[in-house]
Amino acid sequence: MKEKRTSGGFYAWLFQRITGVLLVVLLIVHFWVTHGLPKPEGVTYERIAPRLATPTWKVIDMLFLACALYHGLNGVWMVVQDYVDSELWQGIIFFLLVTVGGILFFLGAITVIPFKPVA
Amino acid sequence: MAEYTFRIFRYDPEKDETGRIQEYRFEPEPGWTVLDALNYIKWNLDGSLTYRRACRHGICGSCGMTINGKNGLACETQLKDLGTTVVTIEPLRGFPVIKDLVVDMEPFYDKLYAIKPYLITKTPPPTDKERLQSPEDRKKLDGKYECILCGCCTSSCPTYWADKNFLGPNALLKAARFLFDSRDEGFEERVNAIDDKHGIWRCHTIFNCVEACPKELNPTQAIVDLRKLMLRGRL
Amino acid sequence: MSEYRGMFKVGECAKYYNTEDAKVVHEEPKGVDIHNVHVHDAVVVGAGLAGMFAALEIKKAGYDVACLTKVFPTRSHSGAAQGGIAAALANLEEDHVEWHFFDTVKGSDYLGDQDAIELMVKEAPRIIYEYEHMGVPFSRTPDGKIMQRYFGGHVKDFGRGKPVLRACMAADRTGHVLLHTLWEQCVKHQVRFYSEFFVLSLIIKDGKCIGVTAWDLINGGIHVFQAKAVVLATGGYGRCFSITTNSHANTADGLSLAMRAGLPLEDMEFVQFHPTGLAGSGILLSEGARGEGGYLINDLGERFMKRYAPDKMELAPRDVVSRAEWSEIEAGRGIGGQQYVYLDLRHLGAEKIKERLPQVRELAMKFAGVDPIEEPVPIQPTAHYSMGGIPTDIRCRVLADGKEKWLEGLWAAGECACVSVHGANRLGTNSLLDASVHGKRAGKDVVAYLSTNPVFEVLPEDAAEPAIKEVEWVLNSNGPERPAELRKILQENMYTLCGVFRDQEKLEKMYEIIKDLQKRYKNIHIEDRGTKFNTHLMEAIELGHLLETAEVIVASALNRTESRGAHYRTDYPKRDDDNWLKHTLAWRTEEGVKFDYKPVVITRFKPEERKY
Repeated sequence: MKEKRTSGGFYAWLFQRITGVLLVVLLIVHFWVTHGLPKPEGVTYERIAPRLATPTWKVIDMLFLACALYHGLNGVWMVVQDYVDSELWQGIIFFLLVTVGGILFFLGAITVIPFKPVA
Repeated sequence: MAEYTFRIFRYDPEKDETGRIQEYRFEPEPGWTVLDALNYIKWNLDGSLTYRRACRHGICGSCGMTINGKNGLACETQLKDLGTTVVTIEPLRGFPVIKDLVVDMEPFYDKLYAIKPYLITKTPPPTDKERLQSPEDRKKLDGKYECILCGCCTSSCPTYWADKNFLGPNALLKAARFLFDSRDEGFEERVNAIDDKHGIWRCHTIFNCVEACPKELNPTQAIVDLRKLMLRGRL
Repeated sequence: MSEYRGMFKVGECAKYYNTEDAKVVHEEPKGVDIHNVHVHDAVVVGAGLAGMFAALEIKKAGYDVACLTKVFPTRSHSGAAQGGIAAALANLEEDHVEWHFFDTVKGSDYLGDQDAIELMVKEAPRIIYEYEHMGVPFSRTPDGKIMQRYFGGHVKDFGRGKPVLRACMAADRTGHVLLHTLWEQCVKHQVRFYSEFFVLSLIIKDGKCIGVTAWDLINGGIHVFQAKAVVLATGGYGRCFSITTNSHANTADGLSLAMRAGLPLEDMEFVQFHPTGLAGSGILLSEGARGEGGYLINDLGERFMKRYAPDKMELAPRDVVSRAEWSEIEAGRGIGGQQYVYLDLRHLGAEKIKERLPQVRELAMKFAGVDPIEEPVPIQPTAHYSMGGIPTDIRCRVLADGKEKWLEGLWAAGECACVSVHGANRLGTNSLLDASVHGKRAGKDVVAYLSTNPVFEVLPEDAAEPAIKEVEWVLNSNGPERPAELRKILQENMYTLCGVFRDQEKLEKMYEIIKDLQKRYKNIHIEDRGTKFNTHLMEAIELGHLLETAEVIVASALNRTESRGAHYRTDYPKRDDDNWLKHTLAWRTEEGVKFDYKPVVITRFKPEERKY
C-alpha cells in the first residue's frame, strides 16, 4: 500500500473517550444544579447568578464548555474524514472547525470568567 | 419446497454498461443452500452465471456474497433459514465488481499485506523442538486465527465504504491474531500500519463486521483490544 | 479493476524479462501477447500445502519462483483437512518414528514403498517443528507443547498396542491453520502468486519440461510461463465422484495434463472413501469425531464395528470402516433402510464436543441441520483421497516411464503425485504430512537442480498451440451436449459403479459409460463465450480432465483382480500378493489404457494380513 505515515489517531480517540466520560458527569451535575432535576425549578437569575460567580463554578463551567466543544467538533471531524476525500477540503474544514471551536470557546470564556452578579 | 424467486445481480464487463438484476424461478430441494441454488442455475438454467466457489463447506472463503442484504457464505446459508422465497443475491459491497457475483478482492488483500500478516520473531527458535506456549496464551488466539478471508466483514463495514484506505475489520483482526500471539515479536513493525488514522482509530464500532462474519468471529472486539494494547503501550 | 495481482503487476515479468539472458533464449510463441510471456526459474502449479511449501523452499534459496493457482492460495483444498497431521513427537506419551513407519506400511496394505515411507515419517517431526516456528497456532498440552490426538490406524508397538496420541492438531482446523500459515510465510518471502490462473498444458521439448501455459481467468488470455523447473501440485480428483469431500476445484487437472504429455499414472484404482461424509452432500466430518470416541450405529442401534474390527472398533482405518458401513447398508441395516448410518457423539457430552470438535458440530448443524449434542448425525462413505497419481521417485522427480527415467524439469508433490507413501490406502493425518514433506522435498530438489545452472531452453514457436486450440474449441463449441449434464452422469455412476465395492460387471459398465461420455464431450456447447472470468469455459475444460482421469481409474480398477486397501473387488475379495504386490502404471492411449507394473519397495516389514 502506498500509505504515508500520518499522525495516527490515538490522542483524538483517547480525548474523545475522556471528554465523553467527563460530559456524562458534567451533564448530570449541570442538570441537577442548574435545572434542579429531578424536580425542575425555574432557571432564574436569582438562583443561578450567585453560584456562577464563584471561582470553582467558573472552572467547572469552562471545563464543561471545553469538553462539549471538543467532543462535538471532533465527532464532526471524524465524519468529515470518512466522507471528504480531498486533502485540501479536509484541511479547509479542519481549519473551519478549529476556528468555530475557538470562537465559541472565546465567547463562552468572556461570558463566564468576568461574570459578577448585579447586586 | 415452494417455488423460489432468485433475483441475481448480473454484470458482464464485455456486454453490459451497468449491472442488472435477473430473475430465475424454480423449486429447490429441501436442505439446499444458496450455493446449491446457484449451482442449479449454472448447471441447468444459465451456464453464464458467474460466481466463485470451491470447498462448499465454509472453510475456503470463496463464496462470500450479499444475500437478501446480508453478507454471508452462499455455501452455508440454508434457503429455509432466509424466511422468504424471494432471494436477492448481489456481489459483496465495497469491492469493484469483475463479473456477476465475482468481485475484485485485491484491495482487500492489500490491507492484509500492509499489516505484515505473518509471525515475526527475533529470538531464534529451539532446534528440533517447538516453541512453548501455554494453553492460556494459546487461548488468546481463539476467535482470531479462524478467519477464512472471505471478505464479508470488510465488505459490510460502512467506514470501509467511505474510506477505501481503512484497513478494515479483517486486516485488523489478523493483526490482533499476531499481536496477541505470545510467540510474536513484531510489535514495532506491525504497529506502524495499524496505529494510523486509516487503522484502528478509524473504526466507529458499528459492529456490522460482527454480524456479517460467517465464522462468528468478533473483529470489533479485536480492534478494541488493539486500542487497549496501544493505550497500555503509550501510558 | 486492479492491475495488481498479489503484490505484483500482471504481465510484468520477473528478473529475466528484457534482460540479455532472456532475449537469447526467448522467442515469442505464436498467438500469445508478448506481455503474457513470463520467465521464471521455477513454476509451481497449485498453491495448497505441497505447492506453497515447494515455492517457499525455492524462493528462500534465492531463486525466482512463480506459483500458479486457479483459486486464491488460501482457498486451496488443503485447508479443509480437519483432524491433524501425524508425527511421532511423543509429546503426551511414548511414541516412535518406527511405529509410525509400521502403521503407514500396514495401512497402505503393504503397497506403499517403504523407502519413501521411512523418509516421510522421519521427516515428520522436523516438518511439524518448522510449521510451529512459522507460527501455526497448534493446540497446546498443559506444559505448552503441541497437542496430539488419537487417529484411526495409528497405534503403539508395531501394530500390537493401543491407539497412540500422534496427530498434531489445532482444534479441528489443522489444515486451515497450516494452509494459512504457509501462505503467510509466502507473503513474507514475497513468493510471486498468479492467482486465478488456470493451467492448460505442460510445454515439453525434447523430453524436457520447459514451462506451462495458463489461462488468466480474470482478464482472459493465454499466458506462457517459461521455466527451468516445473512442479505439479494440483491435488486430487475427488470430483470424479458425486459424493465427495473434495472441493469443486479438485478436478484432476494436473493428472490429465501429465497424461497428455505422455506420462503414465500410478495406482489410480486406489481411491479412499472416507467413512464419515454427511449423508447427501458428502461433506467431510473429521475423523477426529471417531478419534475422540464417537460411535457408529446401525438401524438396530448396535455398534456394528464389533463385527468388522473388534479390537480397534471405530478407530480402524478408513477403508475398513467405509466397507463396514457399506456392508451394513447393503444388508438393509442402514438407518430406515436408507444409504446411511449414524455417527453418535452424544455420550461425549456437550462440553467435550464444543471444545474438541467445534467444527464437526458446526458442519453437522449447518449442512445436515443436526446438533451432535442432541442427535446422532447421518453419514455415508464419501470419496476422499486419491492414493494414485503421477509417478515420482523419492526426490519427487516425475518419472517419464513410471519407473526410473526422470522427465527432466518436472516434479510432482502432494495428492496429485504417487511416491508412493500411501500404497493402497492412506492413514488419516498422513495426507497433510505427505503434502508438506514432499512439497518441501520437491522444492529442495528443484533448488539443487537450479544450482547446477541449467540453461533456459528456447521456447518452441508452437508452445501455446495446444492451449490456444483447446480454449478456442470450447469457446466456439456449438454442439447439443451440456457439460454439466455429462459431468453429473459421470460422477453419479462413478460413485455407484466404481465406489466402495467394485466388480467386473460394474466396472465394465462404467468404462462403457465413460467412452460414451467422451464421445458426447466432443459435441458440447457453452453459454458464456466471453473471455473475462469465464467459469463455464473452465468447467468445460475441467470436464475433459475428469473424463480422461476417470477412464484410467476405471481401467486400472478393472485390471487389478484382487482386493487391497481402498480397492475392493467383490469378485476378488482376497489380497493376492503373489500376483498383485506391485504398482500399476497406466498409460492412456488412443487404443485404450495400457498397463505396466513396477515392484513395491519392501525394506523392513514383510507383508502380512492386515487385520484391525
